[in-house]
Parts: sequence; structure tokens; C-alpha cells
Amino acid sequence: MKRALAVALVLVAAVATPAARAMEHDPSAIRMQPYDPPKPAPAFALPDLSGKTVRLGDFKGKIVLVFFWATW
Amino acid sequence: MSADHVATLDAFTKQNKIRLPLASDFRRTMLPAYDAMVTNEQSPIYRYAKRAYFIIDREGTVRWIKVMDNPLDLLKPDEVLKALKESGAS
Repeated sequence: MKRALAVALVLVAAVATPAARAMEHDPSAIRMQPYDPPKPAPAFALPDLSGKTVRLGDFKGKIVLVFFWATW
Repeated sequence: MSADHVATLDAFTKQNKIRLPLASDFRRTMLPAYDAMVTNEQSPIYRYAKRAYFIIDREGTVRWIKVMDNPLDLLKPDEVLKALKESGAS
């Protein structure tokens, strides 16, 4: 987790420099893409921070944004 | 979602005053199902999560995705909100 924070800080610092700006990716290449063809989301059951199990089915009828942190 | 242990996430959220709901896939049950796990054995983050976004509609269907090749990349919030709105979120 500390490493993830360090990476984030390095990233912020890098973006702030002109040299790093030249290395930025094409913004058009970093976009959400329609999932074609759409497929049923795989079910999951994971513990949250209170120990409660979170299931995809808990959100039935709602739009859900699932975001995987790239932590290591 | 994160591959970190619940205790790690708990400490991280308290230290950084994060209020987002977090869940732990420490046993790597969800990551492979979403094709969001690094499987390159040469990678220093082998068996950890790729940075990835999935928007699931009200019927439980995946409608929008983005799996980052580079874990340092982040989507812009506006881009995520746009996809959410196109999925029917108000």
C-alpha cells in the first residue's frame, strides 16, 4: 500500500514536469469502451471493511461501477 | 476492489480518510473472473490487480470497461461519469 502511495506521488510529480508532459499518453486512448457484445457480470462475494460480505446481487436494479485498484 | 487484505485496506482508509466502500479480493476469486489480474510471472505485481473499471447496468450486464495496460494510468472522472450517464445513471 505504501508503494502504491509512493507511485501516486511520483506520478503527480512526473506530470508536473514539462519532460513528463511530453510522455503523457494520448487522452483518446484512455477512455472507457462499450463492452461489445455485453455480457452478464461475473458474480462475486467479497468481504468489506466491516467484515460483511458484498455481493453483486446486493446491487440488483442499480448501476454499479466496479473499480479495481492497482495496488501491490 | 483490491487484492489487498481487509486489514490493509482498513488501515489505508483510516490513514487517508477515505470514505469509498472497499472490498478485498485477497483470495483472488473475483480478479480472474473479470480478467483484471496480472498473470505475467515476470511482473513485480504478479497476481495483483490491474487498474480496471467496469460499469454494470441495472440488469447485471457489463456495458462499459477499461482495463489499463499501465497501472499508473487513471481515467479522468469526466470520462467515467460520461459512461455512467450513458448506462442510464442520473
